[in-house]
Formats: sequence, C-alpha cells, structure tokens
Amino acid sequence: MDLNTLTKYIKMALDLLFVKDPVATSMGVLFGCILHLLLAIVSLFVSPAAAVTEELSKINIAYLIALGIFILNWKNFLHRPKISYEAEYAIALLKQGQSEGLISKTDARLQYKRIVTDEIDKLVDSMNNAKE
Amino acid sequence: MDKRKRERLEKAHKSGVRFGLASRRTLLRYVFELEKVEISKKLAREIYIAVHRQATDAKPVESYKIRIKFFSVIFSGLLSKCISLLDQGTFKIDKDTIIGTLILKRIRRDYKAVQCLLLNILCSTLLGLFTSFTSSALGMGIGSLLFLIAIKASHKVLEYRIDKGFYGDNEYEAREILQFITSDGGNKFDKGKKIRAFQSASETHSLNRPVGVKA
Repeated sequence: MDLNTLTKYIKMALDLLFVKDPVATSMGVLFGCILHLLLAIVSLFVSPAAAVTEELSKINIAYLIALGIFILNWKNFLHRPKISYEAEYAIALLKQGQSEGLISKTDARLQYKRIVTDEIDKLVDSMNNAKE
Repeated sequence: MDKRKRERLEKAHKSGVRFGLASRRTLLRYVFELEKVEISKKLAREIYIAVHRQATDAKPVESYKIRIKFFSVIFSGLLSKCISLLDQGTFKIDKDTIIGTLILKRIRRDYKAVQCLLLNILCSTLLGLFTSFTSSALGMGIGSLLFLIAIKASHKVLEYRIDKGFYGDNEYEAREILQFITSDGGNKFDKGKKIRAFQSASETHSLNRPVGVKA
C-alpha cells in the first residue's frame, strides 16, 4: 500500500470516527462527562429517587460520552451540505467508468481534481458576475 | 515607619479604585509593618478586606469576581498562545491556493475544539486530584486526550496530503471540498484575483492552472 492510499484511509477513518466536526465532538465529550458527574451528584443528594439515580450513576462514562457526541453531531448529519447536480453527475460517471475499466486509476485521480477545479471556476465566475 | 513610607501609604489610600493587585499587596505589607505584630491567616484576610474596602469603597465579593474573570482571560490567552506556538511555521500548506485557504481556515476553526479539550484535561486533572470522582475524571481526561491526538493527527495527515498533491484525488475528498465550498459560499475567495485551486506538486502540474482561465 503506497502512502497516498494509506494517508487517504487514515484521514477517512479519523474523519468518520472522530473529527468531521471537532467542535461538536469535543463538546460532546464534555457533555458526556458533565452528565456523568451530574448523575453522580444527584444520586448523592436526592434521597427519594436514590435507587433510580444510583443505578443511573453506574452507567459507564464511555456510553455517556458516546451519547454526547451523537447528540451534538446529529444536527450535522441532518444538514449535510449538498453538492451541485453537475458535480454529482460527473462523479457518478467517473465511478461508472472506473468500475467498467474504461478509466484508469491515475486518470480518475486527475479527473476528481478537475471536477473540483471546475466547480471553483464556476463559483469564482458567478462571484465576478455578481460584482459587475 | 518612616515618613516616606507613610506618604506612600496615604497616596495609595487616596488613589482608591485605580489600585492594581500588586499595589494592594504592597499596602497590606505596609499595614503589617505598621502593626509590628504576629498575624494569623484569618486576621490577615480580615485586614486585607478592611483595607480593600477603605481603598476602593467596594464590596470584596466584586473584587473576587474581577479576579476570577482576570484569571480566566489570562488562562484562555495562554492556551491560545501555546497552541499558536505549537503550530507556528510548521504548516506546509500554501496560503495562496484556494484549497490551502479553505483548509487553513478550517484548521484555525478547529482550535476552538483544541481549547475545549485542553480545558477538559485541566478540569479532569483538578477533579481527579481534589474530588472523589476519580473514574469520571479519568474517563474525561483520557477521552479528551484521545480526541486531541486525533485532531492533531488529522491536521498532520491533511497537511501531508496537500503538500504531496494527493488531496482531492478521490471521491471522498472531492465531495468534502465541494461540500465545504457549498456550505461556506464564495466569501472565502479573494475577489477578482486569479489564484490556483490546488497546491503545486509533481503529480498535479497539469491541473495547476489559474482559476478563471479555462483549459
């Protein structure tokens, strides 16, 4: 496995598991820890519901951190920005060509960059037109 | 007490609210010298509050609030400074490219997360040392440390890929860049200036044409 592929998978893994939105993830960690502490404090002071809260305070902190991360990243999951139709179509064609063996791996890599450059071109053009 | 010291003490009394923490401490020392007695901590605290009231004509509670605010500002400033020192001059990302600009902005945005995690680690250390919530503190500390390492590793991998010209050559990263552009709009670009989209690298020369110039 070359370094390009290796770093690609490392980046994907880090993004998917940890830091797609680091602010939300770190706040989720904090949220989970605070929740754990709150449950522990409540179990100490609230006597009528002590049995319930004592059980709650026994929940593993890792589950509460996971809950915090899930809650704070849920908004990002629902509101994922969509890319333009043309770019989506180009990517679909590229994938199809690659799977059918019509486009080589190196060519596909260059074409992905071409798609990005073209989209930025469009954006800069539209900005310049709006300015005029 | 000599005449010069007494004059300074009187001057300090008159200056009132403008006292800094250091001058208050000096004032307290003068009071101690004046009394020439052995003072317990409790008495010293009472004298301090009395002197402070006389000097500033304000409640001591307010001064504590100011002190807390002061230390929180100093602490957050120190954190930012430490982070900037850690990353100073280490990035290999070209700021003159569009992708470089976008990624650097994203990395700077991630500093908020780094600050939050550093605070997490500090809080967990304090909790572990001074309270009985040792398991929570340990979990919090380890979790925060893992995420901190993950963020730094993510930045380093991203930097490596951009530097070598690998970034954006697969579907996942192409989508990431496109989503980033879509979500942030064009307000990040330097209007009217023709700049490169990707950073120069041996593998990407064919695509490093200026944006706005059709191939």
